Amino acid sequence: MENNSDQRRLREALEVSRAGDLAASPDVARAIADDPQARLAFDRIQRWDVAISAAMDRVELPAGLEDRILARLSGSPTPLNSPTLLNSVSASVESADSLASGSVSTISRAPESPATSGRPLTYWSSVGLAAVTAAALVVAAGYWLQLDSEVPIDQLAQQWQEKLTTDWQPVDSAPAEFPFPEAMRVAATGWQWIGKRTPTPVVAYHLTDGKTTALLYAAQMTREELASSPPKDPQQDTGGKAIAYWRSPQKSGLTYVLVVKDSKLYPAFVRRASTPLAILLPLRFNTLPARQARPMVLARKIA
Amino acid sequence: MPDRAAPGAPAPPVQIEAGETVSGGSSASVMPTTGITLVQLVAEYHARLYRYAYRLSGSAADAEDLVQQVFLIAHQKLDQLRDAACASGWLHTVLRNCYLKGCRKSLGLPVSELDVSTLPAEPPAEPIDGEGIQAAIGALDPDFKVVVLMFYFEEKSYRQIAEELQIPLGTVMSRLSRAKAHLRERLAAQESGNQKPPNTRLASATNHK
Repeated sequence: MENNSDQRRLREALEVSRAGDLAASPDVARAIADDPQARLAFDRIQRWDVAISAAMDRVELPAGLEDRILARLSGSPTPLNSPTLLNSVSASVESADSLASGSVSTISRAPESPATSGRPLTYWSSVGLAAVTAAALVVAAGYWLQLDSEVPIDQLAQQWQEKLTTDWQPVDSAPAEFPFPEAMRVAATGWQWIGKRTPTPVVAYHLTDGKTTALLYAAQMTREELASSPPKDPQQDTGGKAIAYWRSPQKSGLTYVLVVKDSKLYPAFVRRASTPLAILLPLRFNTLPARQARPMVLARKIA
Repeated sequence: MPDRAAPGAPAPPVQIEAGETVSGGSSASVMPTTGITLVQLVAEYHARLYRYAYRLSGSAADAEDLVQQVFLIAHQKLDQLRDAACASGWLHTVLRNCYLKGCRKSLGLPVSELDVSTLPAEPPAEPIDGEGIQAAIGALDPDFKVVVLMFYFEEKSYRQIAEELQIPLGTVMSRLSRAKAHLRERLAAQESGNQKPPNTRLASATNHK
């Protein structure tokens, strides 16, 4: 038993050691020097390592990869913790400060009533400070509240993805205020909260069609400029993943963002909007073939 | 909320190199202490990171997605990088973390133990095919995959792997030796024309290291 354990330990050490680094593994160096079998095993392992290391690099690069990465980065706004944004936040607070100071000075220029004229300077200082703080908070709150509606959606999707956990919940327990859209061809397999509070409460749904996976984010965010159904082609295609977004046709202030891992499979996840087709067709032809007109039985309604 | 992006107008164009300007300034972020730009990082590391990502994920689409994520994170956290010499290791670590974050938990399939009673087979005379190695790696559980790629791709020692992943040395030795034996077994089977893969898959079951 002891022998087996030693044998295993030695073999593991032979496997993980490199010929150029034997000084760090005296047991291995000794075994190679003393034991012909260990020497033979080590020699073969090393030659395998050379062959495998060389094979690791044999990956063909997709054309235009660098350009796509740079294009994506060019569209990426400056992060929150960057000096640029911190400056803009302080600028907001400063402008709030000066605005509030202006209000205070206006008040202070107003004719004083006999009842207030006797108040000490510290009182007015406190009032002024409170007003400045309140104004700054209002501006800052406004800043945060409007933030997500101005951030590019692919950036929001990236931020939401970073908050994902492995804690997926059964779909039947998903919150009703974030309904799974009927425009999806593929059913959700789970959901989780990304954030419950402002500025943007978001729920993520996990989907798979058996070939690839997708994430659907339902966000309480107003994007009036968006269509009320999924686009035929995703708004963004990074070459790897597809990102599409639209607003809910039923609930105002609800925006859907679909991220499909393999962009080529995007069409498998969404239904094409039928309304524009109905509008385009003359009345007498405004009857879809039976195959298209029948209910989408494959799409399971979740909520 | 450190990851939140800022609204508003883009920053003015920033000069990257002579005659080249990137509008918006986003991709022209500069590492304060070294002066290296994100554009330079992309130029230098995108190919290597893509290959690493492809070996980890096994899919071109996923690999590109992972590399995009890595550079977006690098863009956001470039100020954390103090030394240009650490850029490669830092980017690889970000990539590994992105990959592991997106992985599902182990499937708990049967684990191949290291067979210490037989010698490793003779390595093939011909270079190993890139797709052949991918098929062998693809059968590994993510925990094994990461260790074996850190060894072969990043050329780290098992001690460095243990330190970086913050897992016991014995666990790394066990995973690495079993993963390497698995790769050899699969590749030797391919070499000999036996395309049938071994009926076991390496997975980090909870009762194993």
